[in-house]
Amino acid sequence: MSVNLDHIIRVSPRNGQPIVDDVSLTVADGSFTALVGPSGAGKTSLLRIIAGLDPHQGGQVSIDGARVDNLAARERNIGFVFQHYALFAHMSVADNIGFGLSIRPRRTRPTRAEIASRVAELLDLMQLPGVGGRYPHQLSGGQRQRVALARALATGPRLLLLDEPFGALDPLVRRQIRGWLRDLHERLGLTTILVTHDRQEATELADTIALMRHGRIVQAGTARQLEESPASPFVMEFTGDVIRIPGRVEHGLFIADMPDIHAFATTGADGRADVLIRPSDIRLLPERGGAMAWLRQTRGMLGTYDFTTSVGIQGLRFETVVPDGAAPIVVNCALDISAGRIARDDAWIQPVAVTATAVPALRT
Amino acid sequence: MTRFMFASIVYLLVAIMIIPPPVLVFVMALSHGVGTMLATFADPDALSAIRLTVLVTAATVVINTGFGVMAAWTLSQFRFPGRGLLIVLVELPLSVSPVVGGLIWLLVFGTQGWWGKVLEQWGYPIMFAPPGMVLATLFVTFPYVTRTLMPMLAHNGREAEEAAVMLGAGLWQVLWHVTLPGARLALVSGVLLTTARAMGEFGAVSVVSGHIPGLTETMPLHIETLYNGYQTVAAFTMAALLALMAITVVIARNIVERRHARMGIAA
Repeated sequence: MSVNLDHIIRVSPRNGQPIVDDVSLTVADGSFTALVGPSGAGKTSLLRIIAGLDPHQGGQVSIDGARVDNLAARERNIGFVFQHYALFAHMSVADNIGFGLSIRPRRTRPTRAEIASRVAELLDLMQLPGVGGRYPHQLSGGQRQRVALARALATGPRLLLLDEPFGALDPLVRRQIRGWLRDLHERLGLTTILVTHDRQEATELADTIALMRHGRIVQAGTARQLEESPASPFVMEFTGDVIRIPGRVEHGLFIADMPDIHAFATTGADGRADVLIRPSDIRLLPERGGAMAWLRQTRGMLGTYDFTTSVGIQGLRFETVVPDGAAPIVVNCALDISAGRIARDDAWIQPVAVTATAVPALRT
Repeated sequence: MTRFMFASIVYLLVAIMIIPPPVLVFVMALSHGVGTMLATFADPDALSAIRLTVLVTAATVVINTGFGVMAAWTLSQFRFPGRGLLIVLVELPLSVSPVVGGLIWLLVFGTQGWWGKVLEQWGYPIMFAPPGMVLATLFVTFPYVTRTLMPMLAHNGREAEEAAVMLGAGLWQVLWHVTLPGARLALVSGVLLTTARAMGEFGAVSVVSGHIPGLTETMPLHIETLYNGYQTVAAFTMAALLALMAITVVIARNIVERRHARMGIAA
């Protein structure tokens, strides 16, 4: 089932501030989409609007081309998995999973035996054999999460919504469940929308990532698209490690505030600006300046440098690829940026990465 | 050391304030022997009082459980203007003297009141009759179910209810299958508290009953009548029975709580 969000707006009932601010998004049939972003970005609110749990003040939600705005949550036939599982504590695992079927009106309700066999089937699918008779408090966090998922799948929903489903699990269980969930999605082909604040989780699970901030979708696309052509400095910082160096644009050159950083050409307008660099795009050039770099620590290929300029107090710490046998202290060096993006405030001055050409170091 | 000191102070207080009255009640009831005590129950007025107490309590518990659940659910489920005021109003009977509560009913349904005369002419007297006594008891015990249920509902939160909605449950199905079972300890506790309070209610009921022996006397009222008539043994026998009933309810409440704790419903 495809989901189409068209200019969705939701304002906070308490202070009238927008929580979801004009969001449009299309989720393709059978896809796995992740809503990612820092907390308070409106991801969960958007998910709850799709589910019908929260009202929205503008725009429309369509599922498979049909508007569902006037459909109550219970009539939408959407599976929802909550962050804290929301299992019914007073019911056995089997009763939890069978709940959605057992409350149907008599006409459409399966028989008790049919429900039992469906529950057994789902427990099997979730790799939870034999726990049907137990109660939620007797299960581990990972097991509870899978029971919650089985319960959501029991009624044969057309869409699955997951709200930070791994938030309360320890990292090891988290990784296991992640891989397992991806497998499950591939097997069932169920359109799935996941909310998470963890970009790695999103990258690992989803085909499409919609990055949210301040109630808006900043950029939507594949993980690769987001990483290779980030729409804003925020996207670049969210999708990977970034070194941000303040400076200014002058006469077609970006000049860092710190000395001993090579300037490079840009087409941006003059004024204050920052350059954002991936750690792999930075290099130390010995004997080319007056700065000192101290290799603080190494982890395999990566090392953390403390870069101190000739002025002395200005410093920069960055992590980058370190060649074998690198000296622990590099004196009289300069910093060369091979590629970076120049930003002013929260927007690019130049939307594409700048590749530095050989511009002589500016000594100030 | 401090711990023991505080514990002994509490024990001392309990020994002085809580233990002697019921013990004394039983002692007085038995002061002329078991035979004299049991003779109390030969009096048809006494039996009528017991019957009426059970009746009024049962009616009150049923009605106030229904109202209490509705009030607690509405107040914790929805945010609406005047919600704070409604909470204060629900709690009002706790702070208003029961006698005042009784007088209010008298004002509304008494012969001087708004509808009293009409209802009496139609043959449905409210005042000085069991219906009025139920009304008075309802007023006094109104807050208990709501006030014990509300914190539990708040603690349980909305997630389980929302999960049920997403699975296709309607409003009543959510209430019946998820909300109430999730808060059943609080509900049972509130019901038993209402029961205990309803059985022992004196002030409000006294105002509206008219003290007609054999007709409109509950056990507490009958005890007063007996005591004022110098029937000490009978009075204390009734009192002992009432105390026994109350203690049973309190013990029942404890058992429920303990069983609940053992099942570990924290999950």
